[in-house]
This record gives sequence, structure tokens and C-alpha cells, in this order.
Amino acid sequence: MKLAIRRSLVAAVLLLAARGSFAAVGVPVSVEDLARGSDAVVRGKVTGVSARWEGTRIYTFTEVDVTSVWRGSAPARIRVATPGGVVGRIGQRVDGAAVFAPAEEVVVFLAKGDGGAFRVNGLAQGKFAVRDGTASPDLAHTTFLAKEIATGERRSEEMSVEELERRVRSIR
Amino acid sequence: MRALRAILALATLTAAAHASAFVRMTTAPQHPDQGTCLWWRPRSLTYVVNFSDFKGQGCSDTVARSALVQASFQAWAAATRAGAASPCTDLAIAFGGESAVTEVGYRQNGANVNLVVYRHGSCSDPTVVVDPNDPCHATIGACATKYNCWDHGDGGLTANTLALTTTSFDANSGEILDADVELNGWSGNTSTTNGVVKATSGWYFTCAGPDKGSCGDPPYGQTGCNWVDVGNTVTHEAGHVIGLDHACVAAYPPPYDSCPAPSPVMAPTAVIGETRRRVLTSDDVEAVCTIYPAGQPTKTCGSTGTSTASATKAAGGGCSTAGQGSLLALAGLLIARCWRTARRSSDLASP
Repeated sequence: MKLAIRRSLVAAVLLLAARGSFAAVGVPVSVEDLARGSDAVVRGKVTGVSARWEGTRIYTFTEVDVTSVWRGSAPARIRVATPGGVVGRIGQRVDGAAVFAPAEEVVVFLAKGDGGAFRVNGLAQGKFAVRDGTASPDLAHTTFLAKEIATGERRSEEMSVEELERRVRSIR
Repeated sequence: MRALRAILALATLTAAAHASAFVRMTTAPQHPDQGTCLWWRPRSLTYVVNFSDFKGQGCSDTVARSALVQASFQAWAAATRAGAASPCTDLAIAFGGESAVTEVGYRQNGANVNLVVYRHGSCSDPTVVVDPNDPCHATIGACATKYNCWDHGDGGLTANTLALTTTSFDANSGEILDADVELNGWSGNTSTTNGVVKATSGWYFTCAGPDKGSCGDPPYGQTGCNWVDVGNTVTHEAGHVIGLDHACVAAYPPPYDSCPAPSPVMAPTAVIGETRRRVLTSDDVEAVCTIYPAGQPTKTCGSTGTSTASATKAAGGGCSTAGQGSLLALAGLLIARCWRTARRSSDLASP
């Protein structure tokens, strides 16, 4: 009898634990591909975030003090434009765009953009938040296509800052 | 014995609380647990379609293209619970016709239109925006409007995003004022590297279903896949248009991270050639029918809202799923069996 009880409990626990198995899986571009397609890749700290209208669209402009340039060239302070934000009573959401937080330490894959501001290459995949030596993109709002990553390369996902830097710098 | 009863109660309660998994968009992007839910005040929406630059398989005529986009929106308007004879929502989403509009966003003091537009290639692709000295480059987003190109910084061979929805809303109430969908389409141009022909930017959309076309063909050169289905993509984006966030996001805090089986239309993944997301799952149906229930006020949440303030939070009133709920319920049944067995054993042992 005790064996039957134990078996039932084990089965119940296994079923409860299976919750995570339904997690969504996307296969995005690799860090290496992002680096290849970027005009610059920098590490830095967010010093200011503000939003304004650009025609019919709201863009959020993020000032980043660059502490190191991993690829390409960039000035000591850059301005990055991302779609979406709030101005007055009106807000715009553009799911999939990178979001910066004040004072956040970041690694950003940059593309030269219109209006004198950089854009984030790869949308949210091209911006990593750095905390405790770990770099993490926020991919919650990105719709991914299943796509193979080249052997030896790694998709845009959480990894150590050291590994991220090594992968970016490995691209010639 | 008391412990077993407690486990049973917990499992049953958890299963009941997680009746659905959908997540609502809020005024705080990336934080479904914060801000005010986004919602439409009118129960009748209209959208227009600009597929004039469409390049794809099986959609050579405008009728076929429009028909698939209309079906994608109609899937939400016609949402019907299993076993029911009529839709559980009265949200009407009307096709306003073909349009030449390319402008995305919101005019504060002018007319606005909800738009579904096919962008033909990246604005950073020199074959799309030929003149680098074009004055449109002075204003962010202006080239996208002028050349109908994709201007979200992920063009070229690193393109990874199929489509984006820009939702304009009242930051206080969460009322949606306008929503526009952009599809990241192919420019029609290719480049050759080391003898391999590839598209210079965008994705090759199709209306034809999975039996037409192959990514093994140029320009993509991938094997074992088909083109990206317009219906699959627009049905997902239409969910954003009505105010739904992604479901199945593991990075969200509980209960917003739960995920049902089958995977809902609002899950943040897509597979090349997939068409099953043309059809809503029970969780998607529950989403639209919970927010815009037939004959009842719109469910809002958060601080200000309007209509009826619901007790539910941004996650579909709970958020989780039929699939997961079923698992939890099954777990509860197993524990119940265990409890009954133990009780029987205990009863037999009683004097």
C-alpha cells in the first residue's frame, strides 16, 4: 500500500514539474552574426533616457557613456534611438524593441541610424543588460523564426560578459 | 493525512486559478504585472491593408492577400468557445480596404488609420533606399514612410524579426488609440557570397500554405522549410492589435510565465512554413472573450481604466493554461487517489 502511495506521489510531483516543458523556444541570430552586421559594439552605462515625437512616432533616446568599444568605432558618449515610449498622455509600444533603464550597464550592438542617433541592431537581441558579470538580452517581446545557428556560434542569450566580449572581438 | 489533504487542496486551487494563460499588454512594456492594461473602447475596429509592394508566393493578386489578412483578423472577431454555437465576443474588426498609406504611428490632431503594411526590405539596404543623401535620412522613420521599407535596425542578413506592431495608447487609461502592423518583407533583391545566393533583407512571405515554395530555393538556400505564412504572422500580430501580450514568456514573473498546450497563437515563436497559427487555440479564444465579452463591458485592469474595472490583473485573469491546468488537475487527482488509498488503509485499521 505504501508503495502505491509513493508511486502516486512521485507521479504527481513529476507532472507538476513538467510545467516548464512547455516554455517557448525561439532560435534567433547568433552573437557573431549580430557583430558582423553592426557598425559598432560597445559596453557602457546608461546616463539618460528621454522620449520625444518623431513625426507620428515616439522614440526613446538613450544616452550611453561608453566604457569600451569592442568592435568598430564610437564616441565616448552615444545616443541610441529605440521606437516606443511615452510623451505626455500618449504612449507607444513597439514589442520587440530594446528597452533601456536609467543607470543600467549595457552592451549594445549598434547600427548607424537616421537622425544622428544609433539604432540597436537586432532589436532586443542587440542589447544586453550587464549584472554581476552576466550579460542578458530581454527577449520577451521578440517573435523568432526558427533558424539554424552556425556551428561554433552562439545565439543572443544570457552568457558571461567575458564570453560575449570574446565572441564579438573574434569577428573580423 | 492532514498534509495530504493540504497538498490536494493546493493542487486543486492552483489548477482552478490557472484557468487561462493569456497575458495582456500594459502601459509598462516588458512588465505585464505593472501599469494599466491596454484595451479598445469601441467594439468595432477598422483596419486597412497596404500590400502594394508584396513579393511572395501564392499572393500574386490583391484578393488573395487581402483575404488572408481579413481571415487573420476575423479569427479573433469570430472567437467561439468549444461547444458554443456563437462567438463569445462582440468585438468587430472590419476590413477597410486596400490603401496606399505607409505611415505608422499616431497623429495627435489628425485622422488615424489602423494599418497592416508590407515593408519591402530594409531601409539600410542600399538597393531599397538608393540615395544615401535622401533628405528622409534626417528624420527617424521618414525613409520607412517614403520608401515603404523596414526601419527597425535589424535588416540585412541578420534580420530576425518577422513583424512588429506599434500600439499607440492613452498612457493614463490604457485605451488603445491606434495600432499598426509592419511585416518585414523581402526586397526582391539578392546578393551572392561565396557562390551562395541570399536575400539582401527581409523575409519571403507567402499566402499559399506549406505546400508551396521551399527555402531550399534561392534566395534563402535553407533546407527543409517553406516560406513564412502571411496568415500565421498576421493572426499573431492581430492579437497584439487588440491588446494581447505574448504568452509563454519564461522571463515573466508568475503567473504571467505560464504556457498552455497547444501553444497559443500569442506565443512568441514561429516556424518557417507554419500555418497552424491561423487558427486560435482555446487560450486565445479565452483572451479575446475575457477582455471583450459579448454583451458585457470591456474588462480593464490597473489604476484608471474605464468601463468595468475587473479584479483580474494583466494576465488573463490568471494566466496559465488549459494544458498546464490539466496537468495540475491530473496531479491533484493522483494526489487524491493517494489520499483515498491512505484513508481507506487508515479506515481499515481503525478499531
